[in-house]
Amino acid sequence: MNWSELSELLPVGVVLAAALVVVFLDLVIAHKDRYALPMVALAGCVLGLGSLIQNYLSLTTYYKQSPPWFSGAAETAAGAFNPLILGGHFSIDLFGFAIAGVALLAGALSVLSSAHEEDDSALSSGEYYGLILLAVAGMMLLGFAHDFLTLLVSLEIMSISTYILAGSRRDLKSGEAALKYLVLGAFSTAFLMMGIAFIYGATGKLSLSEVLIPSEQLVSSAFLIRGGLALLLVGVLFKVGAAPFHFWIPDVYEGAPTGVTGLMATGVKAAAFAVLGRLAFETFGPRYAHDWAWLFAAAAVLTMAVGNFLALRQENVKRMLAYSGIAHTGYLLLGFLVSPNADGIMLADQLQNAVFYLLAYALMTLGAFGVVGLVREDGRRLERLEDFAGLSKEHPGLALCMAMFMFSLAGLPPFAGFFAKFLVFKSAVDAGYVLPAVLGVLTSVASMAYYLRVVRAMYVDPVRATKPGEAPAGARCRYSWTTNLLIYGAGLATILLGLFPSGPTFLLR
Amino acid sequence: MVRAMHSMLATLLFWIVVLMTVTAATFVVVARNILHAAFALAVAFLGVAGIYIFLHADFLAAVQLIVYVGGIIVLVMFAIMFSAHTQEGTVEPRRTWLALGGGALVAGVVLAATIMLINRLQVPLAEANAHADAAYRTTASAAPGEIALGHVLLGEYLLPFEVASILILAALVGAVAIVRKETR
Amino acid sequence: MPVLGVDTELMQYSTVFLLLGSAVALTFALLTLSRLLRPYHPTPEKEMTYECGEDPVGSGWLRFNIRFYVVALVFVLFDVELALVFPIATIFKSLTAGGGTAALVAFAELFFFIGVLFLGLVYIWKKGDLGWVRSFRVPTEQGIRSWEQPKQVGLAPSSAKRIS
Repeated sequence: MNWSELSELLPVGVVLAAALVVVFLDLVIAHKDRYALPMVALAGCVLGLGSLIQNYLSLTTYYKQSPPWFSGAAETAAGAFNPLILGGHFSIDLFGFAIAGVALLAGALSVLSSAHEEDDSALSSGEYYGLILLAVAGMMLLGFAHDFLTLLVSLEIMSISTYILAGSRRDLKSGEAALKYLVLGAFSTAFLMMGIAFIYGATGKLSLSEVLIPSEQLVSSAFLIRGGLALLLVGVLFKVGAAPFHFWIPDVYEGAPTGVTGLMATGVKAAAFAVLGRLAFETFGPRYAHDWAWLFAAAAVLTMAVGNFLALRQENVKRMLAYSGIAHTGYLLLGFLVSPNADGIMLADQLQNAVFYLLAYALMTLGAFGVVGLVREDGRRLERLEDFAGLSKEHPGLALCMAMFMFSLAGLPPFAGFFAKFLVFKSAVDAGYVLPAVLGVLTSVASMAYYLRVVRAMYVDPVRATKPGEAPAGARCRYSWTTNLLIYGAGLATILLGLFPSGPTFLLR
Repeated sequence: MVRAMHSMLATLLFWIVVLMTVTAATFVVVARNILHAAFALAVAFLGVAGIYIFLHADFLAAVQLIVYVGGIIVLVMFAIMFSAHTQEGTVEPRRTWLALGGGALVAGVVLAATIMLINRLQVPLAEANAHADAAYRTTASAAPGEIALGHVLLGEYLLPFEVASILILAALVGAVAIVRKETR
Repeated sequence: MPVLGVDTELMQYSTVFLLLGSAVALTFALLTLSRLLRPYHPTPEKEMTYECGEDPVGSGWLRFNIRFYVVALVFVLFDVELALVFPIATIFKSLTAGGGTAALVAFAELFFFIGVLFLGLVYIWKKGDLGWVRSFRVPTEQGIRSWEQPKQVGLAPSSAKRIS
């Protein structure tokens, strides 16, 4: 093992160091200076992002080409870019960079949207921000992980941190969310581990790209491998929140503090999709596409249907966004359908489209959760649809951003969500899965109904009078410059990504 | 003569351990007093450790003793002590024929599925074992379990091993944070 | 591995099984022996739980304080750490034989592993979670900046310094 390659993991180290600094700063800092804790956490995320970009640039200048999208697409010639480092435990490729970037973005925005909770001693503590950073570090490791053991350890760092974060607000709902998430999450990890154990037992290998390399061994123990992969898929589909393993999502997303919900809906989902992507593109690949892609397609169609149709009936905006998150998992799954005769270039294109979706989805979802976290009255958090009535008159800026996020989530042009959906549908059609893509478009049209309900509540519905005869309540939103920064930043990015969808890819060249 | 006695003794011991495990596990299910059930669970865990030894999984047996018998049982006991039901100390389960029949049916189905799976897996598992043995010999020169594991943890899988410390750190900070009862 | 039909690896455990068996047998033998030898004349007073001569009040089943749980939880986590370190301990001696550099490297690697956990221990200790009476920073009526005076018992070295 070449230890100098550890420098490729410096961004993760930066985030881990920031986590330790935040946790220990909480011990020595005076109570009135606690606003510094989220700032340190934010600095950790920004430094991590800077270090990630620095790594990317130095790799590109060294090899005079950008890293491959995944290790299977790498050239095998001598002197070419070999993304596998540290004995093959990590793959420093564009997919990993993208997932780590989305994780850092989600972490930073989630810190920004939690920074105004200084009156809640649990949500302003060092542990809270420390655990957010630890979860982000786990996600980044998961983005680069290239063998089952590293993958499992990183997944658990992320999961354990988010279990605790879900329960960090001290009320019954938050506790319920944490308990449900813990029990079901541990259950799904058990499936994942059992699958890994089966595969290791059959092949004696742990590397993601090697376990299915055909040999006479594989033929005789195909039953064992199939069983293992099925268990593995159940675990991964649970983690991404695909139907029929989606039941935990609404309760957990609703009960968790809003900042944490944003992190779970974007960062955790991106990291779980990193596992799914590596399995689909590196482990199964075109060779096994016939066996597994139809399963992904079936899960995608079911997930889109369940998410969209259950979202129609929700009165709580947070819960509605949770079901919308399930629906988006379905769209994302479409991006991971592999054609049996795909080549490396086509797979890389597909991966790029899926990553664009993850980025766009992270921006608009975190922005929407940011607005939901601000709406409150007398310190009480308001999450119901009727509480958003008349928001456009009291807070025109926030309402405009929220409307943009809703349009973007619904997939209307010219917002980022439109191109994201267009790209994954194109991926699915290119891979030969036309019917799932058509169903995706149809459910996407249906989804407009519930997204536009929020817009109607904000712009059309009359302001709710608190008591008959009394003037309607005044400013209902809490003011917080950090959350405003997040909302307006995400809103701007949603438009810019929609107008210049090739922007991020341009950066790669 | 000596050989036969050895293997007979080993077989006898094996069945004693199995009997102990199954009896304790059954007692966990039928015990009226939840604390007695927890004690029986400890015995069942010990029995499982014994079975691991018979399977030549020494390291797993050690982990079973250290973590399950030593740690998890302590947590289970505490959880029982905190819960409100300790006042009575016993629980009266409702036992109906429907519940018994349903339980028996589920157990039967699981048993049948397991037997079928084992039958189906015998050939691949034997081959996998042979393969793993071969791989094992080349990497760790046929050392016993925990020694090979030690070499692998310090060599090939050092990084996941070190990352595991961060996992335990996250669990430590998180567990303490969530248990802490903040009085307002 | 079976040699001549005798499972040598299992043979190593024969002492363990022998010890376990004799421990169980001895316990039962002694209890049975004392039962046979002792006189048996029960009275209600004798059956009572002995509490230093006082009459016992209420049930022995009472709820434990939650603070025990924190200690148990921390214990389990260090238990897991022990389970991970244990296989390295078994090979450490063989590493020292080969000149010592390998052992030094292994030592450094273990040092990092335990060091990270030590940071966690320092944190919970400083935070006062191991203290018998928790020294929470509790907002009182005077405002959020004044703390409740903690009663200092047992471990919690830092809490006294923090109140000022």
